[in-house]
Amino acid sequence: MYSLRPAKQTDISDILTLACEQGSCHASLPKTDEAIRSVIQTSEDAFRNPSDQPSLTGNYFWVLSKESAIVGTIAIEAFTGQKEPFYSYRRETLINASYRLKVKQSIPVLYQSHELAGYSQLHSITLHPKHRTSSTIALLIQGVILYISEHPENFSSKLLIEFPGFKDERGESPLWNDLGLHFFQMSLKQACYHASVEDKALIAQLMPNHPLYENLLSSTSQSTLGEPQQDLDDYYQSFIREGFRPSNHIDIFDGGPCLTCQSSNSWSQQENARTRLDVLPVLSHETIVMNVNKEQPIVVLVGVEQRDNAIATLNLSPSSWIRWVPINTEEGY
Amino acid sequence: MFVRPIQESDLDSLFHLASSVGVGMNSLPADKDFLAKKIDRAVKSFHQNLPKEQASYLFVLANSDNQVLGVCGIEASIGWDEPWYTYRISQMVHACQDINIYSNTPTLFLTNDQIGYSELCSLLLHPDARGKKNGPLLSRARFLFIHQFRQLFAKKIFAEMRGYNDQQGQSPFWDNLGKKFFNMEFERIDFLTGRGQRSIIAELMPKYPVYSHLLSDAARECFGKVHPNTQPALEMLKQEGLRFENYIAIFDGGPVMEAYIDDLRLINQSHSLTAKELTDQHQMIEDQAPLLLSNNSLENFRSTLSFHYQFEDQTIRLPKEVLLELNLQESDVTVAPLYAKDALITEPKATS
Repeated sequence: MYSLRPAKQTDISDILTLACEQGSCHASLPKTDEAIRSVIQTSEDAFRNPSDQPSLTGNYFWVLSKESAIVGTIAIEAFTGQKEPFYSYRRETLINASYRLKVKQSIPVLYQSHELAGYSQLHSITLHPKHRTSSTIALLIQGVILYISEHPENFSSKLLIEFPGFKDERGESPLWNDLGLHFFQMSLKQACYHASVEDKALIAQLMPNHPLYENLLSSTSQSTLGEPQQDLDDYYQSFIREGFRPSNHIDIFDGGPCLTCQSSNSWSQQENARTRLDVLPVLSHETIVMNVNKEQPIVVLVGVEQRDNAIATLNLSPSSWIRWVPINTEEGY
Repeated sequence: MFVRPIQESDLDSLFHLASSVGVGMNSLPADKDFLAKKIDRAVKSFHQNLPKEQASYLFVLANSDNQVLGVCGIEASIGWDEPWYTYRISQMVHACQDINIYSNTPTLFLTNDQIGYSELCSLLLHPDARGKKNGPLLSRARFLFIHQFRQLFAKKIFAEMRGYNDQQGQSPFWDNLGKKFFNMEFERIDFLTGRGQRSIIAELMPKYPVYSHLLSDAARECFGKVHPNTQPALEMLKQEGLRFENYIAIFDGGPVMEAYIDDLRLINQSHSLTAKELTDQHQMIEDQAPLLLSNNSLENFRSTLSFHYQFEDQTIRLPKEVLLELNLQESDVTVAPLYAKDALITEPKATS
């Protein structure tokens, strides 16, 4: 049975192994022992935060395990742009028109923006290739949204996921090669590495800060702006199903789409129920069930036949409260 | 040959002259109505009937039969009726020592920085009149005019040079930049700008800075590059003290050459002298370094060259035909060596 829980310091080596495997959805997953230790420390502080005030810089780092093996990760940054500015390009359209010259043309423009600051951002999503299914993807997304439903005061009312952008057959980003490469004189991978170990904002500041006319980019860049990396379609579809929609913002490095969702409009917030464990009905679908423990949440994916097994895994008394939501996959619901 | 202010009666000649050139001479289109208005404005300007912001001085090159063989102009102060646009090429450095990054990107900024400057414009010489220093006379006579009527002009002067285009008349700069913002051929742009639609078109050009690395190599090579036919004019302006200060024309990337008027070579080397007739001309068989001369009249301005002359203190002796061409009412003339290299040879003696 798959279960999702906050990462612990004892998970470091497992996370590191996973981070170095293929299948990482997001480049921001740390890849050194030390970096992971620090991420987990921050996360533990966020889960443990006893005050009434939300931890603005909180970053909740979760691991997905199956039979005690760690097979996936996901994190929620409570509010983007707190420690450092959050950069994106906002795509807008200018109309270039002259009545006298009988000219009219749309000119798409990219503006550097901090408008996506203050969102709760889902990131560091990883699944071991053997465990990458629509169910596990749904569990990651819906699991953390259940937690957000339970503790809304700790999160923003708006959710964000930034997808890696389109890559060509050599794995190169056309936008990076048009733009970032010129200012950085290094590959996108190297730049992402610097962004993960140094200050990400420092790196972003090196990007061109004047508006950019899209029609001056190469035609490949133009046609792939806002397109997600091709092998992430399953993740992309899961977010769409959850209620996320492409915004007019894209990633400043590789042009990947920024999907946003009003938290209260997300599928899992709308469909979940908060009940006592003993009134959990007989399941007709796979179901995601979470205890309501703020510091030590556990979210499990329960098969139709596994109801009693799940109750045991959660290790709760029948009178305990839970939140649960049917799984939202094409097959499942 | 002499240079004089344009007159209403020059319309047919000017039309004929304008018809003899193709793309690139956009400030003088072969359009009679347009040219008539231009002449009208110039005539009013010479009569001091227009404010500085609208004044435009047009001159023609004429021979002894008063046949018009060339034209040149000065706008007293540009950019008031409608804005004047140029791109400034600025450097943008993105650097981070921690990760050893340093990049410098030339970036185009759309500006109106030339507003209020005087402009050298509309230089056109009929092919039949080329040679015999007619070109240098026509273009440089303007500097003597500016020198004498300094108060009519601005602190700075500039000339926008025709930019590079290939043998088919295509401008790589235009094709890579302007054309992406409104789909028009360069020839059409050239046509429209010549008919006073310049600022309407300029307003369709990209207003945000343009990082030059996003343009093609061919377009970048056009920054500040003149059309081969314009190379001699560019050299002339450089000799006279105009410089390329990183401003380029927005349509074809041609260089904007500029200077403080008080720094111009010809203005600094010109002198006011009294003219007298050169009686013993027969003794001078060889030509001297060409000397540029003008009378001191605004409405009846005349400028010409002399290859024979003698300095005597504050007096200059000139051949009779030169004196006639200068149409002197009084005997005051302004003189300057036509070429910078001749400065020392022709310098009159300093007053004691």
